[in-house]
Amino acid sequence: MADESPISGELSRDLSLFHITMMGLGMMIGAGVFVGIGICISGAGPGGLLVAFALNGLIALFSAMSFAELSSAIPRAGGAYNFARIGFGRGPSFVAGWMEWLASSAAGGFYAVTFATYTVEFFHGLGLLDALPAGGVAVLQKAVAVAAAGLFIYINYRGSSETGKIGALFTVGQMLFVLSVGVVGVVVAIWQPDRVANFRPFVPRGWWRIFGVMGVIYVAFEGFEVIAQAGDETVAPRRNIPKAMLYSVLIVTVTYVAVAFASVVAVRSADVGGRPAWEYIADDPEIGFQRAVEQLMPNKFFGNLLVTLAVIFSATSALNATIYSATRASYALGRDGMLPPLFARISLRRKTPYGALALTAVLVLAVALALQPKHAGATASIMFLFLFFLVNLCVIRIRRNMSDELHYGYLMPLFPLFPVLALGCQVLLAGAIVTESWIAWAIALVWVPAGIVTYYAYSRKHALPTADEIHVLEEQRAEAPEGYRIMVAVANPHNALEMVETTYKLCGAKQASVELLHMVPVPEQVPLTDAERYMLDGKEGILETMLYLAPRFPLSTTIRYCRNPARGIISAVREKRTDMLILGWHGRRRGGVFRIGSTVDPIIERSPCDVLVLKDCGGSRKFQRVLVPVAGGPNSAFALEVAGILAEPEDGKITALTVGGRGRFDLDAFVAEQIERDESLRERVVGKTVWGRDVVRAILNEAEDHDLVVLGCTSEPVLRRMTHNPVPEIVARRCPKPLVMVQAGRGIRSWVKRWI
Amino acid sequence: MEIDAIIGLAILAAALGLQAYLVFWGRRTIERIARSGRRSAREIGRELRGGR
Repeated sequence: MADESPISGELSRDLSLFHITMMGLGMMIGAGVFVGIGICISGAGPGGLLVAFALNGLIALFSAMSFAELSSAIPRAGGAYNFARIGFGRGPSFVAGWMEWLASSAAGGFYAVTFATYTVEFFHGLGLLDALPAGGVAVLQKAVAVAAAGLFIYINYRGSSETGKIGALFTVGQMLFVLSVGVVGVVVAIWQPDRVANFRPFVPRGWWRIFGVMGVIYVAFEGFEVIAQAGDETVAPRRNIPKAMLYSVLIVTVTYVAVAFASVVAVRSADVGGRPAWEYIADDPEIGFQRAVEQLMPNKFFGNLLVTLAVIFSATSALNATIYSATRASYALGRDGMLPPLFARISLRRKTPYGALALTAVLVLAVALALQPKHAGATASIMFLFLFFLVNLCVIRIRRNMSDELHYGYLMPLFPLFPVLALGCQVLLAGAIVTESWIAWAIALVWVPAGIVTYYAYSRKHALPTADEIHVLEEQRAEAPEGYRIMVAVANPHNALEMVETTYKLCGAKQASVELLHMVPVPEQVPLTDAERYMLDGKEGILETMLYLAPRFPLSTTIRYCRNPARGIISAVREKRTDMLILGWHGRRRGGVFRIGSTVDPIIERSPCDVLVLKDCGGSRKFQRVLVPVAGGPNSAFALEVAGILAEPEDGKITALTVGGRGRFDLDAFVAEQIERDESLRERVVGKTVWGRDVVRAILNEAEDHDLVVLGCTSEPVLRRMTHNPVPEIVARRCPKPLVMVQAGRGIRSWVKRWI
Repeated sequence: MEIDAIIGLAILAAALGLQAYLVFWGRRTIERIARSGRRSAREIGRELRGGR
């Protein structure tokens, strides 16, 4: 946005430490562990399984420390591609982006194949696929894998994806499942110590085989890399990004080791014909985890169902994330001119980079169709190993050359010991993968040289100059003006003027300053920093309205780019220390699960300031008879205060209404108390009690004689609200008159309440 | 207990222990850097070494 424009542009930072930690964990606890356990135990044996997971976690942590240091110094979207550009220039950064594109696409293909393997195997186990001819199950698995990948490619094209919070909830569910398997395993081992004998022999195929399987399952540890991509969206990124990376790797390693232990002790030799437990699990490595867990459950069907559901949730969530991660990587190359412009094309309707997505889809589908899970996982692993190798070189170079220029939020100890150790381990693992999957190496040997050729043949000539490659987008903290602050969130140009006029009635009473805010949602596939280039197409109406209002009213106007409007508005309220937030509402409920709407509901629930939701209030209207249904809570008092401001100062009358027969609310005392607090209400407020069982009908009947209804949101407990619709929300939906819903700011509420 | 198991358990304990140490050391460092307001790697390094 140009400096002289009356509308300022901002990016919304609304991801907390919890969100980004869950984001990393969600990527890691995808399908890697479920398939990895079988693959690992077949190559390294029962003891080797535990050692492989623990050592992989340590090696991943070395790289995570490099990512953490670089992300704390350069906290912007781009991750490895960006670090390579700053550390080594264009050529290596192109190769980094090129490798990341295949790594994420191969991981997507791996998750699609895993999803299909477990789903088809579940039905196969029930005997529902017995009618298929020989080889039919394998064909069905491929078909399901392609269908799953196709579905998520379409979802990515639509631009909808899990919001941070829903994604975090999914991840918590996956974590709980995997951890509970681990805990049950430990309890079983304590209860029946003879099961620990399953670890004998500890490494039946020798120690060297461990490195091969470690390489193949490395994909299960790479998810921390996506945290670096969230640099532009995270609150306090210099502190939170490195913390989230370190925490996620530690949590995931402990979880994997626990679940690996449980898988080994789950099987009793006696139950599988006297064979060693690890051999039984290794019989069918891709579903080895399922074979182990079903032995742990008293009911095999239930065990199978539980594992299949866990894999479906984990794999689909990771599949979605890897597709948009791969799309974003290839889009960045197209945007910077290093790949043809097709990669940077954004759909006008969906706002998603359809060119990059289409070519990513080709890679994902090719991997899902052509490779077995082990080879798909190994391909993703080897590309991530190469990518992380480059990042470990970057951290050394950047610390040596630019350590005085950058502002660090985290520094690794004993530098450069850990990046050097990581480099050595990555060479070892990449080399060892060839013993398990030569296909992965063959793909890498084609893909990386192809990238280098592409760079010299195309990218070097077409790359766009980026004048400020080390530019860091600092956290934007607006200078909070003195006094009472009102924020008006406008989404619709048709009611913006009405909302502003209504706001100015409140302003007079509160002597407040006003900020007009419009949130522009940006799909996950496009970095927030690129949003200004593309996302305002189709927003001309609201922009013109903001430009019209800016000189006519003493207000500031801001466009804010976000992933989710509700989270973006709440984060803006917090950042700007807003005292009152005003929202518009069209009066219809979107979707059965929301009381008012998908944006308004979470704002009312979580906003730290007072919230007013206006429905059809028409800014220039005069309100002479205002109805305020009250029940004595904090919102009733606030509703009366707002009614006092909106009602005509000379002849406006306010009716404080209570519906009798539902408890012993003393209306007269309540009204007297409010008048004592606000003298302007004296002579204007009258109390009225009506009797009836149907509270909603009673309020709606009374509303017919009034020209405005102001009512407080419910203050019922969260769990009660989840089971039935509260009265204020029903009245708000059914009332044909202009209406204002109010929610008094409650400051910091309990953690549990907010998260529910 | 066989020798492989002893070696394996030692590696397991060392890997998990080192990982936990590095993570909690990192967390403490991040908080210290945030509190101290130091910015460049040189300043932070000096701070972490106790001003030497």
